[in-house]
Amino acid sequence: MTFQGFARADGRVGARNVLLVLPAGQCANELALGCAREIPEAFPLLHTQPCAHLGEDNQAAQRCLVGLGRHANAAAVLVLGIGCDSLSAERIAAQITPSGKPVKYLTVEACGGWDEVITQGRAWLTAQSQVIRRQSRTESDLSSLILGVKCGGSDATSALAGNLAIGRAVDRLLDASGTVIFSETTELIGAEHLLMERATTDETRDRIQHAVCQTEQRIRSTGVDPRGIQPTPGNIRGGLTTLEEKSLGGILKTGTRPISSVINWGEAPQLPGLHMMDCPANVPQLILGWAAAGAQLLVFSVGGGLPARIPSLIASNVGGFPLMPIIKVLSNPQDASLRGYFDVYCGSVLEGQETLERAGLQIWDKMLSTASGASTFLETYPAPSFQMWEMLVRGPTV
Amino acid sequence: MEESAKILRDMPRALLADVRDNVATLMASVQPRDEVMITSIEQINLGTVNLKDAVETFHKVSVRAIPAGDYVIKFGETIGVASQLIPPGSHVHVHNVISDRL
Repeated sequence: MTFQGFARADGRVGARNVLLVLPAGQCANELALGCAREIPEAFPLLHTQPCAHLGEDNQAAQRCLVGLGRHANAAAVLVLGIGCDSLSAERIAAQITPSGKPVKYLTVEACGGWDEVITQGRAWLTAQSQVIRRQSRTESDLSSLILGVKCGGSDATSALAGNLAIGRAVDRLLDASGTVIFSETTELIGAEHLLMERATTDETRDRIQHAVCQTEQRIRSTGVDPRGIQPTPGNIRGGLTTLEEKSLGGILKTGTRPISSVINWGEAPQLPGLHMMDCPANVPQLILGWAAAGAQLLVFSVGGGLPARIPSLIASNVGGFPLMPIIKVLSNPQDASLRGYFDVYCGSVLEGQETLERAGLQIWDKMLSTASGASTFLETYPAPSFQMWEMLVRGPTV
Repeated sequence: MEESAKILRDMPRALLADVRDNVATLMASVQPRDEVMITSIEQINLGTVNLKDAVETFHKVSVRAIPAGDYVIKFGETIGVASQLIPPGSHVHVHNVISDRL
């Protein structure tokens, strides 16, 4: 089994050919918008990295920005800074350079002014866009595919249809030597014993337990009982009763294969296989984390109800995330009329009209066609892009 | 023969996620005294249960009695503890189940 992708100098394979415009910090977001304006291949990735983060949070943000720059779906990268940013545009660019792709950095300090950055940046991006328009896809092995799996707007149908079907596709990709990353540590509480049983090493087993315990402690240290916030009122209306039930249903999308490692937010897995990324279920942070870890695709399982009525969920207020296409899966037959907002409808499994095997294959086919260039619903949905993607903050801040 | 197949198709269904489960997920809303067919996800018929409560679609019903303090089982795993005796055919939700997560 293969897909059609863009071969990169470092051996990675892109599912998309994006010109990534990467601000070193939030002060450079407007520079990124100015440089990318009216260049269709350019994606200005706006994010929240301030000067106020400290120590480990800054290290995580640095790792994240470098990971985004090295992403297989980025054909070339323009890093932008002011010159006084907490993370240096020059250092970020230098760490992306070993990937072998075209990388350039510009700062207000080095260029002599704000407008100069925009003029030089636009000229560089325009030249790069000419180059990438000549690139074509070649047959690529599934072992170079990294998939993220997430759920949201969960109800009782998510687990019994979409998540089980996604689990089948996940097993299939892992059997083909691909890589899969699941996350949302807050939504693993109550199901961690099953994940621990699937760990390939004692270290991985301990790290799963540690990540879940630490997350639970962080929540309790704020005086909040995790059982009071999960399931959410919307989940309860949809028929989910307890934290454990939500978590047990959620992990079905991780399939059945062994878990190789636990990775930090935005950290690239060292080997193929199934990995857990330790991050709370906060969408703007998760999306950045998956992309920085190298995921070329994300599969997103939605139950139904009001969240399913948001066309641009989960890139909501967003207009999508061009660096990492998102495949949306719908489970609830009561919301079948909304299937136009989704890429795959799994509700027929619950209506007794389709087998899980067939639903899993539908997701699998959609994964391969998306990796090979077919547009997802979100990629064709005309919504303006306002989203500020978020760096993970453990705090304290300045 | 055709007639009985039709009756079965029209009977509300509830999915049992795992054979060990004592709750099933309704695929249609039901009224008290409705008879519900319990099936596996592979659509295998596992018997019927008579409903005690009116229950919304995709909520859970007990397929057998669950004594107070016993585990409520779904996906073959504990999803909580019964806070009172739950007779067969009852709505199983936040009013009679508490999280077992300490």
